[in-house]
Parts: sequence; C-alpha cells; structure tokens
Amino acid sequence: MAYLSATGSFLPRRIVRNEDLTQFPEEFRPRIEEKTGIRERRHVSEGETTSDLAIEAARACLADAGIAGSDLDAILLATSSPDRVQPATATRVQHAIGANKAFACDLNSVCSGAVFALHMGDGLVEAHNYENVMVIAAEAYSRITNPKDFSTYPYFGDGAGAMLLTNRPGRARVLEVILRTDGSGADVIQVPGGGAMLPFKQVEKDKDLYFRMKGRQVYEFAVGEGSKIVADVIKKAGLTSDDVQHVVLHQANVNIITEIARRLEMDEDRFANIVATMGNTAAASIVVALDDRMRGDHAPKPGENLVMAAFGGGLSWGAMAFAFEAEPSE
Amino acid sequence: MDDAFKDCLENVFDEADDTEFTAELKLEDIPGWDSMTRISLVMEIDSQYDVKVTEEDLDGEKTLQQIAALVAERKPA
Repeated sequence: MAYLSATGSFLPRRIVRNEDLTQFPEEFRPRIEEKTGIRERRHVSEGETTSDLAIEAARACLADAGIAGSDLDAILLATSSPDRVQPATATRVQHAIGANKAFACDLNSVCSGAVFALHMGDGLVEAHNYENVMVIAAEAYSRITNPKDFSTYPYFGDGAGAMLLTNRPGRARVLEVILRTDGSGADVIQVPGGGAMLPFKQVEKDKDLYFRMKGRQVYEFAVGEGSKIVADVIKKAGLTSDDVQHVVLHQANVNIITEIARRLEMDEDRFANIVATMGNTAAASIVVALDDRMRGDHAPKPGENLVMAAFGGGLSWGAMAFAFEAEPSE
Repeated sequence: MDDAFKDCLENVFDEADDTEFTAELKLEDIPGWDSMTRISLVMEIDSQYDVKVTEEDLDGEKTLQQIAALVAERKPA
C-alpha cells in the first residue's frame, strides 16, 4: 500500500455569500443555510477554469512535499466539470507544473471521484513501485449548474485539492479501500447534454445543458450507503469506530454529515465539516476538507486513523482508511 | 391544464420522470415534493407566467388543476 506524503488545496478568491445570490427572491435566500448549513461558497472568476484550480492545488501539494513537478510519475485528476469534453483536463496541469515525465489523465466518478482516483493511485504505487503519484480533484460547478435553479446552484462551489501518494514512508499509510458502483442509478445525477447521447446541437431544453439530481433519492442513497461504507472500511482495516479519530466525508450538506455520524454512533466532532464556507465542491470536497484538517487544530497525530468517504453520481461511492505514522526521520 | 404548466412541473420535478401530471394529482404526491421544490415551483411559475404565488398557496393538498386555475386567475391580462 502507498503512503500519503503531502496535501494541498486551492480555492478561487471570489466569495459568493447567500445574500449575493440575488437571482433568487430575498425571502428564499435564508432557506439555503437553514436547509444545508451553507453560508457561502467560492466561484471561479471570468477566464478561470477547472485546470487553473487544479494547477494551484498541485503546486501547493508539491511545496508541501518539497519536490518538483518533474519528480512526479503520474497525475490522476478527478473531475466531473472538466475544462473541455476532451482532452483530459489533467494534461494542462501536467504541462503547467512541469511534470514532464508523468503521464496524466482524468477520472470521472462525479462526487466520489477522488476516492476512485486514490485507489488507482495506490494501485500504481503498489504494482509499479512508482515514487510519486499525484491525485488531484478539481471542480468548477458554478459553470455547469443553472444560475436560476434554486435546487442546485446555491449548494455547489468551486475548488481543488491534491494529495501525493508515494512508495516511501510518509505521514500516513493507506490501510484499506472499498469502491462501489450501481449503474442502475445512472440517471439520478447527471448533465444530460453535451455528450454523445445528447450532442449540444440536439439539445432542445435549456435544463438539459445543466447538472441535475433527484434530491430525495440522492439523500437516501448518501446517508444509507455512506454510513455503511464507512463502517465497512473500518472493519476491513481491522479497526473499530473507536480507533478512528477523523472522518472526512463528502461535504455535500451538513444534514448528511450529521445523519451519517448518528448512524455510525460516532461523535460529530470527529467529522470534518467545511460545508458552511465551501458548499459542495463535488469530487474536490474530501481532498479540500482533508487539507484543511491537516493544517488545523484537529490535525491527525501519529497513531491516529482517518477515513475518507464520498458518494455521488453513477451511482458511485467509496471509502479509504489511513493510519498516521510518525514523520520519517531524514 | 396547458402544456406550459406541464413544462413548469417537469422543470421543477426532476424526480418525477415516470409521473403523469394529471389534473387530479396532488402536489404532495409528486415524487420529490418538499420545501425546496415548493420554492422552485413558486419561482418557476413567476418566471413562466409572471404570476406571483406564495408557498402557502401551494399548501393544503392542492391538485394540479387547482394550481393551474390559480395561475390562470392571476395571469396578467
């Protein structure tokens, strides 16, 4: 199994508060926080795109690791709001950070993409003894949600996070991972237009150009499978919930985090929670939340364990457990 | 109930792919109906018809026919 050696994140500078969402009637704006706990989110500025966020997160992670882009063997970028239909958004990142010997590609598993990319990255380290694999998750949902849609637009934000997996000992060791997909739910969360199924030229309804989800189904899926997979990965790692001091769940909505904590009978203060200021940054959310946790008062200590888990379109969900170790001596 | 009103409903209720929007159907019985889709329907009616309805107007087990009639009644001449 690989080691987690460094993290980094980047948020666009533009802060959009609920009261700034003036396209929605004033009386409805407070409902956003009441319903989801979200007070503000970050949005990309004009001319800024998903890869720009990914590049800055990658640079922050490289600085944290003390290595150069040219030291990377692979870049896996989880995104469901890529710069373009093709090529992979990761290629622009690879060029910008000078990762000239790394291959780079995208992975789309919507909000659970980061855990999926981490599993692939861990596999590359394990199977090929790669020294440095960077997993990035970057999203710009402000570009793929309909600004007039009250049921999606207020709840998403933009951002990026990066994690460096290495074959040499780092801060934490990957213990176990579980990934799941249920393609019978492929229509529950989607952007219908712009692909080969419904090319742009054939789109008749504006709503087909934007992200949409079946909210109630998504909530039931998230709390049901989300809590189960956290419990399963803890068990698979040979731990009990008492051994896990940190849980970094997909940051979709405060109520989902609270409900999963309740179902797992774990204290909510063990759960990362940056929903209020970030909104849902899709695949990026757990990586941004992890980076935040690594730098804050709650930073994991040697001997502690951490679980990351995410759930989203596909339907897809996954969880990964890490054990934090003493910093390797130089 | 005209086609424009059905479009309104389709725009709001992503969850209701398999639901036939009949005149007798109650809002509460549409899959996905909750406090947020209620707000979305208020805004959708405003945007499609330039008609103001309140959240309270949509409460009380109203049928789609009753809502369509309310919209028609308040529609600018």
